[in-house]
Amino acid sequence: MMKWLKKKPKKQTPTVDLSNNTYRTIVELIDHAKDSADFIHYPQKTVFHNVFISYYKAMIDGELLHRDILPYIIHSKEFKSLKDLKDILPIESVTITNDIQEIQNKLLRGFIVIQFNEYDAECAIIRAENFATNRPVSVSEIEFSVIGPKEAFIENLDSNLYLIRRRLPVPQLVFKEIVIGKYSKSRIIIAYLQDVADQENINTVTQRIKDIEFDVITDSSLLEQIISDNTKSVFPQLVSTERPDRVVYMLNFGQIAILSEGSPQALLGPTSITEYFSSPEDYYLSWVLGSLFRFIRFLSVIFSTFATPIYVAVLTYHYQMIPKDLLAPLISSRANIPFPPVLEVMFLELTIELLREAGARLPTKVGQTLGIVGGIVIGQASVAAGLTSNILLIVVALSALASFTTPVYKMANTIRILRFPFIFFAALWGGVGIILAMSFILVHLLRLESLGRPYLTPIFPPRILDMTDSIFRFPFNRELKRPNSLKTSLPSPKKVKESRLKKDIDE
Amino acid sequence: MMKMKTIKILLFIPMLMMILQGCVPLEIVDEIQLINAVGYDKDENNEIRGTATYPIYNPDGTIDFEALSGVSHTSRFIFSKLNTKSPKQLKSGQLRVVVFNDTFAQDGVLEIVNSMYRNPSVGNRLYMVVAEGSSKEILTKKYGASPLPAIYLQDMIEQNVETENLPETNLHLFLYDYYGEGLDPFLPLVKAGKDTIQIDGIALFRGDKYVGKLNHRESFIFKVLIDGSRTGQYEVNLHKGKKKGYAVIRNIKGKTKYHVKKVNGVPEFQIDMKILGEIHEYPPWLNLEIPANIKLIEDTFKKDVDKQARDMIKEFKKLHIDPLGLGDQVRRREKYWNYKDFEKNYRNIKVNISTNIDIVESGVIE
Repeated sequence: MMKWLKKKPKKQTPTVDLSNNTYRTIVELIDHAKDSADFIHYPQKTVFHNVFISYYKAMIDGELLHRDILPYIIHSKEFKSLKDLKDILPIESVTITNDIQEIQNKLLRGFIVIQFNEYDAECAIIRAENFATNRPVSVSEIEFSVIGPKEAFIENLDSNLYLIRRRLPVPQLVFKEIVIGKYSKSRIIIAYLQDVADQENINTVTQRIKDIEFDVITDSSLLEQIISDNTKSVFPQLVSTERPDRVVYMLNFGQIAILSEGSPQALLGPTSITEYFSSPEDYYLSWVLGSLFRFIRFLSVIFSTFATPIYVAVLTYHYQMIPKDLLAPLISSRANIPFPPVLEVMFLELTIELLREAGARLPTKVGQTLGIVGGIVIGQASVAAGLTSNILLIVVALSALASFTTPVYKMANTIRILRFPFIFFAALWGGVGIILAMSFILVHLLRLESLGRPYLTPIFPPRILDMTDSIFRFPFNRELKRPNSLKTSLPSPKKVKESRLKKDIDE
Repeated sequence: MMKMKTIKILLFIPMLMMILQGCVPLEIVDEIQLINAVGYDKDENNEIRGTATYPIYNPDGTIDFEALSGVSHTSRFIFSKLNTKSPKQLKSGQLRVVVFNDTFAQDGVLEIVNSMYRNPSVGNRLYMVVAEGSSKEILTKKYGASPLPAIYLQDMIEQNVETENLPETNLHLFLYDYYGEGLDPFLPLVKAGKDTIQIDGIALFRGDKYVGKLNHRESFIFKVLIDGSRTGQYEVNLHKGKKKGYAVIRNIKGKTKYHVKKVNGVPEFQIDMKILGEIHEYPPWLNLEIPANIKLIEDTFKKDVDKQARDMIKEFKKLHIDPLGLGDQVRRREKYWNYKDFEKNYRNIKVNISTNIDIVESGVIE
C-alpha cells in the first residue's frame, strides 16, 4: 500500500560520545597501545589464514576467550572472512567495523579485536568484558534503614542499571547514555520515565551533562558539583543516594536520575530542600510515624543550627531573656571560665568537628575508641579544667547529635558547617546577628534552583498539594497526585475518591 | 579578574563588621550583677533610699545574695551610686520585684514606675508590691523558703495569683489602670514576718498614691469583682440555732457582670455576681446530706459576700477611688463619655449588687 504511511522503524538512540579523544588511524592506535604492558597483540593461525588478535589483558574475561572464542576461530572451517565470525562464535555481540572511534572505545572496555592483517582498518570486535572483579551488590551503609530493601548501588554501572530496571520493568524507563571525560571516558546514564518526567527537565540535564569538559570523572559527586545550578552554594542541589528504591520512588514522581560509571551513588533532580530530610524509611513505616519522624528531623536541623548561636547571643548580649530558674545553673557553671561565650563555644564545636573528622579518616575499629576518648574524656576534662561549662557541653553534644539525623550525607555536612556563620554573627551582634545571618541564608535559599526549578518549592513558592509528601508524609491513598513542582507530563489519576475506598465485601 | 564591585563589597563587609561591633554593649551574663529586686523607702531627709539585691551564684551550685543600699533624689541615680560600691556592673534586666514602703507609696510612686516602664530591659510583667514596714528590711533578710528574697516574693505572688485570692497584677496592669480613665491601680500588700513574707491583702491607689487597703478575706470578693476568677477560698461563719462553726468554700468559677443604666444622665450600676463553689470543710454538726443545710451555707455565704461587696464599694466611694473600674464600664458603653462628669458624681452613683451562689460540690474534695 502507501509506503509512506507505514511507520519507519525507529532507530535506537546511539550513545553520545563526547570524550573526543581518539586516534585517527588504526596504525596509530595499535602502535600506541603496544607501549602498555597489558596490551596483547599477536598473530594467530587459523584454518585458512593468520589473524591478529588484540585485547587488553586485564579488561577481558580470559576464560571466555579460551572457551568461546579461540577454539572456534582456530578450528572452524567456515571462517573465511570476518563476517563469518558472526555465525561461528557463540557470542551475540560481534561487530564488523572500520570506525576507528568505536574500535578504540570498545578495545579499551574489554572487547577483543580481530583483524586479518596487523594494520587492517576493518576489524571484528567481540565482547568479552571481565566482570569478575566487581564488588557484589551489598547492604546500604550510608543510608541505612531498618526495614525496607537493603540493596545499594555498586561501582559497576550495568549492575546499577539492573537494580533500577528490575524494579521498573517497563519500556518507558529510558536510560540515555552519554560518554564524557577526555581520559576517563565515563559512561553517564540519564534515567527517567518517558511519560512522567518533564521534557524540559530532561533537556536541562542532558544539555548540562553534554557541556561538561572534564578529563576524569571519578564519581557522580563531581558531576553533581559541575552541573549544579549554583556551584558556590554550600547546599547540595541534587540528592545523591545509594538506594535503588529511593531512585525508583523519585523516578515515578518525575525526577531524573543520573548515574555514572564507577560511582555507587545516583543523583536525583530537580529536588527541593525538603527531600534532603526525608528518608526512605518514612515510606516503610506507617504514615503517622513517618510524618512524625520527618518532623523530628526538621526540628533537629533547626536545633542543630541555632542552639549554639543562641547560647552565644543570649549569654553575651541578652541576659534579660534567661528564665530565672536557668540563671543559677548557667552562671554557676560559667563562674570559673575565663573565656567569653564565643570562644567557649568555638572551642567545643571545633573539638566535635575534630572528632568527627578524625573518626571519619580512621579505620572503623580505631574510630570507635576515638569517639569514646574524645566524647567522654575530652568533654569531662574540659569541664573539670574550667574551659567550658557543662551546660554548653550538653548543648554542643545535642546539636552534633541532631545534625546526624539528616538522611542525606551531603546535607548533613552542610548543616554541620552552617552553624559557624551563625555563631560568628551571634558573637558580633547577638540576636540581631542571628536574624541577619538567617536572612542571608533565606535569601540564598530563595534564589537557589535545582535544575532550574526553585529549591524551596513546597514552602516557597507555596504548593499546598506538594506538602502532602514533603513536610508531611500523608497516607498513600491521599497522595495519588504527582508533585506539581516537578511539572510531570502525567500528573495524576483522576479517580482519587474511588481508589481511596477499600473494596471489601460487607458481610 | 575580579570585578571592582565585588572587591568593594568584599572590603566593605568586614569593615562594616569591625565598625559596628562596638554598637552593641557586651553584657556577658557572668560578668554583670543581675539585680532581681529593688526596694524603695523614704529617707529622713525626704530622699529616696533604694535597696537592690542581687544573687551570687557560686560554682558549687549554692546561691547567696547581697544587697546594696543608697540614697538619692531619683531612682536612676541610686543605681549610679550603687555601682560605686559594686565590683561588677549592676544591671536591671533580670528585675523581678519592686517593693515600695507604705509611707513611701503614700507620696506617689509614678516617678519610679515611669522610669522602669521606659527602661527597655525591664519587663512589663514585673511585680510591684507595697510593704508594710521597711522594704530594705524585707530585701536584706534571709528566709528559709528560698535563698533569694526576690525569688521568694516573685514565686509567692505568682502562686497566689494562680491559686488564691490575689488578683492579676504587674507593671503593665498598673500602668493601664493608672493611665486609663475611670480606673485606679492596686498592688499586692506584703508584710514581713519573723522569717517569712506574707501577703496581707491589696493596697489601693488613688492615681499613684497609696490610700487604702483590703485584707485577705476581702480580696476574695475583690478578685471576683475585678474580672471573675476561678480560684480563691472563703471562710463562712455559720449559725444554726445555738451551734456555731465555720465552713470553707472554694471558688470553682466566679463571674461578674456589670449592667449600666442611665437615669437622668447619671449612670446606675447593677452588678451580678455569680459564684460556683464547693464545700471543702464544714462543722461536724452539719449534715450535708440534707439540702437545707447546704442552703444554709449558701445563704450565709451570699449574705457575707453581698455585705462585703457593698461595704467595699462604699469604702471605695469614700476614698474616691475606683479600682473596680466602674468608670471604665461606663466608658465602654458610651461614645461621648466625660470622665470629669463621672468623677464629680462618683460618690452619689447608685450601685446595686445581686449575688448568686451555687454550691455544686460537697463531697470528696480535690
